[in-house]
Amino acid sequence: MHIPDAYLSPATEAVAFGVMIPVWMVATRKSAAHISSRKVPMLAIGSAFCFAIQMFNIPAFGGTTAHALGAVLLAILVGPWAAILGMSLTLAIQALLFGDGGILSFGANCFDMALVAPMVGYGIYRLLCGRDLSNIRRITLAGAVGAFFGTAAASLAAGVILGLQPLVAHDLSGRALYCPFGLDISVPAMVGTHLIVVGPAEAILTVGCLAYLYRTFPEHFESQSRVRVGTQLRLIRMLGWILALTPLGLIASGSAWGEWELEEIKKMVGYEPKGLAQSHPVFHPILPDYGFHGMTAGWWLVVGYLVSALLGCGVVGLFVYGLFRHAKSDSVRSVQLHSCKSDIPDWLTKPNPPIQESHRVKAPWFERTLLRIQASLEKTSDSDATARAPGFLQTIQPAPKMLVILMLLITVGMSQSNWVLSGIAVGVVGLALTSRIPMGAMIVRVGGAVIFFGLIVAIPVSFREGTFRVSGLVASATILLRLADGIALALLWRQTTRWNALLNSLKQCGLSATMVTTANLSYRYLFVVFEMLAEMVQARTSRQVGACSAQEARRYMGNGTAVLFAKSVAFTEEMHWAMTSRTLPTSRHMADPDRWTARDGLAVLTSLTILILTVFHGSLHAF
Amino acid sequence: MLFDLRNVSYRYPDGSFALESVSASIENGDRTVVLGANGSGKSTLLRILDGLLFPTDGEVYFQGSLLSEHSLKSVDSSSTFRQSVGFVFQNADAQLFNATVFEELAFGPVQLGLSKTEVQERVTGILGFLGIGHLSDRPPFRLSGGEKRKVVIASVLTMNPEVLILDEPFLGLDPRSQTWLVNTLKQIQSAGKTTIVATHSLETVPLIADKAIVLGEDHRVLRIGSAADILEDLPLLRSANLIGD
Ligand SMILES: Nc1ncnc2c1ncn2[C@@H]1O[C@H](COP(=O)(O)OP(=O)(O)OP(=O)(O)O)[C@@H](O)[C@H]1O
Ligand SMILES: [Mg+2]
Repeated sequence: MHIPDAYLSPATEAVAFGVMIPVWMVATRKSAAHISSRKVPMLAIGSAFCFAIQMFNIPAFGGTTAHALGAVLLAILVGPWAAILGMSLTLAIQALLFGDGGILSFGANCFDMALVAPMVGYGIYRLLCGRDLSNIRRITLAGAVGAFFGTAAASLAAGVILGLQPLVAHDLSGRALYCPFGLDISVPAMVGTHLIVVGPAEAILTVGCLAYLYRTFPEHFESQSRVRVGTQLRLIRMLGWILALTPLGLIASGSAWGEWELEEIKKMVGYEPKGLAQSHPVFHPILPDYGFHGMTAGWWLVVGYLVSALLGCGVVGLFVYGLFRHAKSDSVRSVQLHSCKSDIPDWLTKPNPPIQESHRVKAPWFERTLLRIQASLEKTSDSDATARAPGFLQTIQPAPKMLVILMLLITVGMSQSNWVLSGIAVGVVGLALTSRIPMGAMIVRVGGAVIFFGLIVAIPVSFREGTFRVSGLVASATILLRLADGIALALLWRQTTRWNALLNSLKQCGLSATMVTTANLSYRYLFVVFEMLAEMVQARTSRQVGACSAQEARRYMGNGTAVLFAKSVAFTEEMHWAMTSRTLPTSRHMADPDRWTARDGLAVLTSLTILILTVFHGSLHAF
Repeated sequence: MLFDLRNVSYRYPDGSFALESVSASIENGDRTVVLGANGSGKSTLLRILDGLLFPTDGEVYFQGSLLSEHSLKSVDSSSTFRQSVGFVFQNADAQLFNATVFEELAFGPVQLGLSKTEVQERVTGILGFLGIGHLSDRPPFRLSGGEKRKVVIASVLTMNPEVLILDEPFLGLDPRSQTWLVNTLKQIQSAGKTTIVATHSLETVPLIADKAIVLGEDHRVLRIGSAADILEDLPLLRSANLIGD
């Protein structure tokens, strides 16, 4: 769901920021009043944790992948306002440190994942949960339903934002300038995957964590005392309504969009989305007959959504049931145990019986994920080393550097000329060389993203009525160049700036002190969580006999996330104690505003000139 | 020969040296300790023996076959290896990854493909043996330091490995539990199993080992020899910074 920079038009990005900035301000005020200093570490570790679980990509249809968000879980644990901040923080770290999601599209990504997901999810959770916070079954069930629909809502929002792009941004001949897929494609693609794969995964994750945390840290649940009325009957009725209404909402808008859009798209973009929809592998498993045969397609869509929503809820229900059955048998077993010491068990002095191997198969997905995590661990330490190296960009202060990069990113976003974009690309390479950025890694990162995202966009833009056209190729080159420039610029920024310095520059732009503290902690905890994760993986490896089966891998994932989270929470408690006992003023050790040097001023002026010239040049061509 | 290390060096990804051309061999049934000052590379050596890290230079052989990332990828060889070698981490927290103590202890036997009743029997047996039955339903990371250590040791014992590698197993145990651990190790050793222990508690060394590998602060082997001789050799212990002047 992380939208990269070149996918959205600058106008959309501006609107998204326009929505998010007041939301962030309100959230900061609300959560500052609501969140005790003890919950700051919790929020920080929560963000770090969300980050970690977002790295576990679940295979979805047609070779694509998706991941859980953790947003609703965070909202339940720290409250919805704080969750908005926490998720935004996670997304910021992802965008800045790992290049997941763009910088200018940060607002839009926050809108989907940091606003819509926790708010919708938490709202449903509170509605279903009602007054009674002592019934763990009810809490987890409400959490599961909330997580499911929170994720679905976020994916709907992302689908709509993407799908609006061909309508709001196209050139004079009607060609899409940014994401070329209309609503009819982007919405089912996003929502479909998230209803069938991610929603249930999210719900299971939330249930697992909630149930386990409830057992391990009951105190985190007692403190929630704000109340809304609710009875058992209402709960059931409500659940029914939500289930029934969601797909209805989708038809109402879906068919309207669909019909209106096919005409629009044909006119504006000049190619049939129908052929595209049929050839795109994503849709076949979901909607076998998808292809706009009037209303029938609409009805298929509804049936599909309804079935998948029911399926999702069914899976979650079964999971909750299994979870508690399991928990019960645990407590029965413990009764027979007693704590007196006995002699060395017989089997310990004998060799093991031979083991049967037949049921074991490899789970490459699981192992791949572990490798990915290890790789990214190494990457983070790399990037910090670069930030300390003596290079050109490293000598520019964080605040002016932020201005420079943002202006260049805006230039890239607005420019429609391949010459300007190529020029910026050359400049970026020059900057990277003078800043001692490892070029190999940069090429892999930018090239990988261009191939992965770019081809999905570039082929439909350049392929019209069965042939490649020169104008199409030029247009797709623009999109690819923009993508490459955006990613490379973001990479330059984060590779040459240390997280602390970056936060400092944000603080000078008015970020609140609580947020800065949380962000600081969050970043530190990120490494803690990763370290813990790596240790857990190592510990498991050392006791893992043979490869684990797919089923075991899934079980381990479910269990593992809950334990990881609980472990991190326990750890933050200790860390908080350690901090308290040394009475470190957590928010006060940020440096004073940096003094700008001539070099900083020059850099800002240069990029401003580039921006102005590009806009001027663009408007000359447009009118 | 059980383990054969040939000129093993290890550098962590951040560039810090942990081992420098270490050569050593460990026979079946050996009772070995690894001694060395803080940061000399004991834990790294043990992790290499357990196939969690792989030498950046040199080779490790287990029962005559090369231990490498590649060879451990194949299901068969990794299952025999993991089944016969058990490892207790220095950091107990790191090793606990299950939701309850019971699950933690059951993880190994389940891996071995034992039946439900056998698993149950093993876990209850070991819980009784360590006297920690009352902890069975607690989450492992909310235990006291010594309790964690016991759970970690128990979780490896339930797998009943032929080779037991322990990294600082006495850390945080009360005196009574230390005696218990020494006795348990003796019983396991007399059943013919191999033990490799890294420790700073020199007084327990003669009780649990015949052979010692001493690592110097330059991450090289200072001496390999009989544990009793090495404990007598005060200049050696001093140059390894194991004892003060
Ligand atoms: N994960 C790691 N990354 C980088 N360097 C490491 C890592 N772990 C250990 N080192 C370094 O490798 C060297 C050897 O460490 P090791 O943990 O093997 O020492 P040790 O002998 O077990 O010490 P101790 O007695 O304190 O447990 C040390 O210098 C240490 O700083
Ligand atoms: Mg050690």
